[in-house]
Amino acid sequence: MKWGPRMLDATAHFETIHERLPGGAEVLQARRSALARAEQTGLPTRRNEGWHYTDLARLLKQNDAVPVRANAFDANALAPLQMVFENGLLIDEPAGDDCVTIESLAHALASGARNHVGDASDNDMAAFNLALAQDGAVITIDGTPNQAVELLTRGDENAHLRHTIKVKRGTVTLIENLQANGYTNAVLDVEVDPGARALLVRIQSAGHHVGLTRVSLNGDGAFCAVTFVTGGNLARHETHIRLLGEGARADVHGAILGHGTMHADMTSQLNHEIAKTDSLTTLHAVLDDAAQGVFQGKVVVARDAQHVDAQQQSRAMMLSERAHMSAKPELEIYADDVACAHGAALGELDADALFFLRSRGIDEAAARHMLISGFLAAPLAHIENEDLRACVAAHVSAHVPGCENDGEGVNAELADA
Amino acid sequence: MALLEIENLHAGVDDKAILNGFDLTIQAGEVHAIMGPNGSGKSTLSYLLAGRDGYEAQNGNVRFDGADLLDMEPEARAIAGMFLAFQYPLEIPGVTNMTFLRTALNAVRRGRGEDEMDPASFLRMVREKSRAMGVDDDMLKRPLNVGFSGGEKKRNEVLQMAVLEPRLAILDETDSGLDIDALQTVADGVNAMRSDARGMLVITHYQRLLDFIKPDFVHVMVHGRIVRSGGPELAEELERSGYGAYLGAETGGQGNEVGAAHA
Repeated sequence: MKWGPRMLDATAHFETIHERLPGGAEVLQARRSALARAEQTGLPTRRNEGWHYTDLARLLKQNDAVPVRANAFDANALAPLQMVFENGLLIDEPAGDDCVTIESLAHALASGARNHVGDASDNDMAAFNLALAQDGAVITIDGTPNQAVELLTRGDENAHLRHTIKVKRGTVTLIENLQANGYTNAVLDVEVDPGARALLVRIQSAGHHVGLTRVSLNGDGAFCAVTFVTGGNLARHETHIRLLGEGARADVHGAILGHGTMHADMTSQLNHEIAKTDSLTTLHAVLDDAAQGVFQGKVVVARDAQHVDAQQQSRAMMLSERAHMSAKPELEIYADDVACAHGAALGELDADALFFLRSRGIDEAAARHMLISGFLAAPLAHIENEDLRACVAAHVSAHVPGCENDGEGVNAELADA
Repeated sequence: MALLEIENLHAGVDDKAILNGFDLTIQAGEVHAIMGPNGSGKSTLSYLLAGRDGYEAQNGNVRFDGADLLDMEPEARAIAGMFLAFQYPLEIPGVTNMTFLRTALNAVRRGRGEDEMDPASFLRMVREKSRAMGVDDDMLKRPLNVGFSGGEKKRNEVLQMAVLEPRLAILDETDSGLDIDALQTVADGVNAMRSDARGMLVITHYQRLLDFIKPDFVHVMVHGRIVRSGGPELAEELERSGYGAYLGAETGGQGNEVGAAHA
């Protein structure tokens, strides 16, 4: 695979492409300092606290790994406003509509907007991203669009993508459709203004994806991310959310459909910086074969942020003795009148439940599929848009780990549900 | 041909003998009740007949409609017409009651070589049967048994029976955890399913359930076998005198048999 060694030599890569990188002298300067930082720190290893369960440097060197893939997710039934990024470059720019302004990062930087490259000071991978990002989406939402906005990533090459979404008013449904086979480093910066909502549904079906999503909830806005990892050798989905206004609500939900040698890591940090803010973080992992799942969830409640409700739950269903799950829920609370809880559970497929279903005439394969699908119904339920939920349910149902996936009757049932 | 014919059935769990030469024959149209104290092997019998893992016969035969039941997977038994109403119905998160019922019915129909039921006919049929069991639309839309009360779970079991229309229904302690009104509803549902083509085996610790579901035959089970059989009056007698006499008689009986074998 091409992504391996070249990724490790960011400077060489930068020198190859820097003339093609968008942005003026100021942006180039920011890129050079980010590159210097990236080279100094290198790729994270287990020694970095945030990467203790995901040894990125090692995982990216596994060039001979058998690709772990699912079928590509297809949301075309929703006719979304679609931006297609192939090998890190936008190839298809939609027009947008009355309340959606869409631009490529390359265009935005060409027109002189410095702020779209954002900041890389607090995150190692964001530094690599800032140095090397060639393209991305710059989207402004002002009102509730009729269509969802889809960011589709594909190709076999290394890719660094940097997206910026500003939701001024209304509710936007975003789809991040991650199909690239190579290594992708993506940064998604989301800003949600008071009263607005950003609903993100993310499907990774292939590749080595390292994603950082940074969200600011400026008032009583809401952000909800539901991520499904159905394929891919490496998935790292890191979400940082700042809840900055009373009434803000953050949801971070993940589902790992682990098979083969998949390594999937759901890391989040939610900062409740003000009172009366709520959050719910969940992970449902089904791990077959030698799949590895990671849940790292941190909730920080600031000193005066009273009446915060923050819940974290990680649940894993282990289908194989070679599968592995690490869970590290963490609460850091400085206020004294809050309702915060976390939990981590791990179990096997329930043999009694399996017998119950079989005793009603449902064969073993279909019964297994039904139970595991049932376990994965919780994250699906967090997808608000019904049509999108049905699309994702069909994709999930076709990739339920530990099943032959030939129970098409059950698939249809789940899609109805 | 008998609907169910159990001959000299022996079974145990972890070296402990639980069924010791159990015999029972049920004809279509008959309702049999098995009564016995805790630990007499009633639940083992029902799990073994339904095919639960870990419940294996060590000896004996079970024929269901002439076929060797013990060779069949649990789903094949259901397709053949066996139904076990669970003492403790399982909760299945994420699978709605309705989806479960439709999947089960269509699996059974496919297994019987019949066409699947179309969604409209299915909905009509389930609505009608649910109403009779006091199962409302909300319970049909909720995940299977999740958050259901004890009574709701048992009514839901009988609804499954009504939908699957088995040849033989085994009711394992169906009265446990039910108040008198719930018991009446459940019993009405079961009684509505009595027919010349269907057999029933009611397993219970208490006589109370048999006031609502009148059996044709009552058997007393102790230490893994039937020690006495009779009509409905036997249940009333047990209610008055308890199982004490049988526990003693069984011990004595075994002693005599052993003695006879040695003689």
